[in-house]
Amino acid sequence: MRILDLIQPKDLTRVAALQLLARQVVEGFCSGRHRSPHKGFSVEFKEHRQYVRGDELRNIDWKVFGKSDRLYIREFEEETNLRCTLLVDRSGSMRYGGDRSEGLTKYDYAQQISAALAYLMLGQQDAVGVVTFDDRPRDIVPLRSRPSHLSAIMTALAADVTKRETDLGGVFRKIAPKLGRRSLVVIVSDAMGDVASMSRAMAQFRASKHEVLFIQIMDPDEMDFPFTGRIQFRDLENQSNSHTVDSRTLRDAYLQRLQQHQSELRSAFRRNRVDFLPVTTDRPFADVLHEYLSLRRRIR
Amino acid sequence: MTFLNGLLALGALAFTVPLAIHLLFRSRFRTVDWGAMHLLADVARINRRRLQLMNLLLLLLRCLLPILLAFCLARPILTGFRSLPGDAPQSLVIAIDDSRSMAARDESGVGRLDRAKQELSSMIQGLSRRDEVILIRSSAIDAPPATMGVDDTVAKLREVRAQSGKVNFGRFLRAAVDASDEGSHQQRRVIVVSDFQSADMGESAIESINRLSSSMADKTIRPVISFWNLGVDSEQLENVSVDSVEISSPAVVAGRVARFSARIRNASDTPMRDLRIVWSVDGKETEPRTLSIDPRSSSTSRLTRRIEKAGVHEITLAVEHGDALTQDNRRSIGVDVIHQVDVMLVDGQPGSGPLSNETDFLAIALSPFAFGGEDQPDAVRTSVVRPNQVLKEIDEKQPDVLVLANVEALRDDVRSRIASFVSSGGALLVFDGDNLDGQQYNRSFAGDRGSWELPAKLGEFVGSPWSKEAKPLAIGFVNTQYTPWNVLGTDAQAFHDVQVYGYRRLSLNESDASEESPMTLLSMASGDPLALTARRGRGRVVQFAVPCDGAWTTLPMRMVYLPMMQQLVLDLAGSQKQTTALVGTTLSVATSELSDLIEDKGSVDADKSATYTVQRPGEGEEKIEVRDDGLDQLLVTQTNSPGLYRIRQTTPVGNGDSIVTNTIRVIETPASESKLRDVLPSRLTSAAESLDANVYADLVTLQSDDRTRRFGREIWRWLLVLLLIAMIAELYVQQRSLGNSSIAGAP
Repeated sequence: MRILDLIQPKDLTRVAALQLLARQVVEGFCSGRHRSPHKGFSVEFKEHRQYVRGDELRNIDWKVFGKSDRLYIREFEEETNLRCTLLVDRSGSMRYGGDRSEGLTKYDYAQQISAALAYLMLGQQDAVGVVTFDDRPRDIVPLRSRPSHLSAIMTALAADVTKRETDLGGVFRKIAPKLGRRSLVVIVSDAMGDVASMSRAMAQFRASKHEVLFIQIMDPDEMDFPFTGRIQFRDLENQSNSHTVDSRTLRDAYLQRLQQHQSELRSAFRRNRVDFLPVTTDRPFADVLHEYLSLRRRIR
Repeated sequence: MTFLNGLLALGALAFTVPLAIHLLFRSRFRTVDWGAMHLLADVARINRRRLQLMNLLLLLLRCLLPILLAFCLARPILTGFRSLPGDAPQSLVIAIDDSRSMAARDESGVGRLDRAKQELSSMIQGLSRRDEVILIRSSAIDAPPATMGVDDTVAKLREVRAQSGKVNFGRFLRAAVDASDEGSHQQRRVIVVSDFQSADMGESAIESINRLSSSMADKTIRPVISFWNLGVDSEQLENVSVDSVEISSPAVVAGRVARFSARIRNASDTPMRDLRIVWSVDGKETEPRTLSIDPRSSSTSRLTRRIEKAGVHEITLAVEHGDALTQDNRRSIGVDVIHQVDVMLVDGQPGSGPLSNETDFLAIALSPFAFGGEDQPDAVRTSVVRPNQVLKEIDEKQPDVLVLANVEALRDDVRSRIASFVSSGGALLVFDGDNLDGQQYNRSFAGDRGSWELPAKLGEFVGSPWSKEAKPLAIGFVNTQYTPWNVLGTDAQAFHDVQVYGYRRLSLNESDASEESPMTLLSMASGDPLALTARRGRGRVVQFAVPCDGAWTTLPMRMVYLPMMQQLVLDLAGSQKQTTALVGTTLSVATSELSDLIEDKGSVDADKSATYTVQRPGEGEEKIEVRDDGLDQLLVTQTNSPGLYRIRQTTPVGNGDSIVTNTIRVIETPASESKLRDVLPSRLTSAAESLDANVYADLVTLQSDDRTRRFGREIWRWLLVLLLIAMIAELYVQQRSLGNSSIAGAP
């Protein structure tokens, strides 16, 4: 599978134009566009600070000492490359695609976003890895920064969606230990699961110093429930689970439940300092991504 | 339950159409593979039961609509699993209250009885020719019930007038039920038409109704009783009434001024200003006056009038005011105007000098103008006789009042004559004195018309009657119940300067229980009676414990003595005739009253007997016969109409002509009929329930209930209402569902 099978060329161009800047500096091996929290011997001067006992003498700026007769230490910022792991949900619930999405399922949309992000980061010599999961981790592509690594990532993303049920919190907690050092974790999922369990998983990510970006993929149908008449709703994750309802009478209650779910998600993510980006599949994903990254740049 | 259009009930099967549609659509649904089941599952579980209920409700409503419509068109009738009489002939008893309160008009100006007559006439005209009707009036409960046809009943109804007095509901209802027993049909109904006034539905009426209920339990055929209550909001009606017209004077003497008073009541919540009232004597009106009466209060109007001619006269007071009950705006009484009262004074201790006779003080007190030499006639004419002249004089002079003043003892023949005199209506005054033999007076007075005793037995003397030096005793009590002495004041203040040195102790004579108990008129401060009175036979006896001169007391020398004796004598001589009576009362008129009016008695043809007629209000003359009981009395019955009843005597004279004399009597309706006050609804309902009766406010509902009882209850109107409710409910339930979907497009 090629990247062009997943994403339109014009979108690729636009995504490539974006500069993905991590809000926090991730420790890296090679210098890049991302700042390291470690002060060291790099070329980019950061600031002077007063000498305190224990500082190495070689860091003292003697020129300043000559001018001011005071001891100052020179500090530098070191630029590193990014480690990013994409966690892509391919459980049964991601198979839903409504009419307004022109046949695009939530998983299709998740694939496109994931592919675009991978392509972008590899282009910046950042290390990118992919983990697909349903009720447990399925394909795990380790972190690499080589451009040839893209094909391995695409292969993992292109795998078909399963019909299994997901316990997002549980599967995240299984994945967390495998991520290794501090990195940017981008989760692409519909977040249809127990919020409390997910919150605990996010706390676990944060405890491991990971920065987490949760991209929630929702179909427009799931946002406004436009159904009328008697409808049998069949669970995509469990075909035996179905509810035949008069959708008109159900709509208000459903929308209330959705609002409550989203509110709980936002609250849990805010508590764990997880960036949350809800996206509906009828919007061009590049627009949404551009908007989000622009926002992050302004914050920085 | 039966149907008038049974075939149309089959249309109810149309309920299968919505049922089939429902079942068909129940199995038709779209399947959507859904991702966000995590959110939907909870909601679906919560809403499933509500959804099922809503669908079930909608299905029921939709099935109900064709069923209700079909039943509505089929016109079902509820029969309660009974066989109904249908149009079987019936005996209908209409018990109509024709008391005066039924004349009260409502706001539209239609009287209760007029409304009842109008509606009953319409109802009766709708009866079948096989039905029979019995009409009972509350004023003629004892009249034998007669079955009538439709036309006769309507004609009889037209004649009913609201003129009678209080209704005895116990007897009235019993008469109606008994009349229904006379009916020749198995189906019997009693409609009681009344305004059910509170005054007529007292405890005794309820008790009578309960007794009637008990007696009805044994009847094999019980009539269906219905109460048509025409009395609604009686308290709100504006009514002014003349409650009474009374004679304030103890007796009305020809040529002397007499006083009359009338009480006028305003039973409304608004004050009556400048009401125009008119007194009239024998139909001749006096100068009109004005009177103002506060809300819910009464006022009194007085008339002072001299009537020159003796005989019975009609005194009327009329209030000119348009109110709910105009019939009670006038009231009349019959007043018997008498000639000068003849008092025979029997002097038991004649004297030689001025004021030395036993009866001198009394004679002056009774005829003050004659004593003073004035031209004005006295009401009382006195004559003094000795005890031995009594027998002769009493027959010659025929006095109205006989006074025994300190008469020692009476011969047996005199006692007998006095006994007859009192028994036949004469009045006797007995004054004590030194000469009086107490033992003899304590014996019975036996005459040819029965025997009687004085009101009290004469006992020992109290105080020192013969010694002016002894400490005087005081009069302490005047009986205010004795109205002729009301002019003296309501307490003994008028007697404060009267000194009594001694009196004879009088102990009430209660030996004969059949006689009226004596009434104390005046008593000492110690409580001992000083004057007593009691009815004996048709007459009256008054007994004093002191003499009528100034021997034992200073009373004859005091100012109070004159009005006291005048009022007493006038009261004793006053008319005993029943000149005013209530509606329904049988009038009794002595033929002597008419015969006495003949001036030239010598021309009367003794061989031919007189004839008598009565002329009732608004009617012609009707011949009446003298009652054959030796009392020479005329009885006038059927006094159901208030007004003037004129009784005439036509006496043949020698030359073939005849002399016509007449007297009048006044019949009035009780004032209680003017007090419009409805019985408590709970009380009426309770009374009705004890007879298994229903109370109706209008005849339409009553007839509707009767139709239901006879033919069953048509319920298509209720079904139509149900159909409309079901349609609205179906729309509501449907709209409620659509209401949810109408915001389906909202983000």
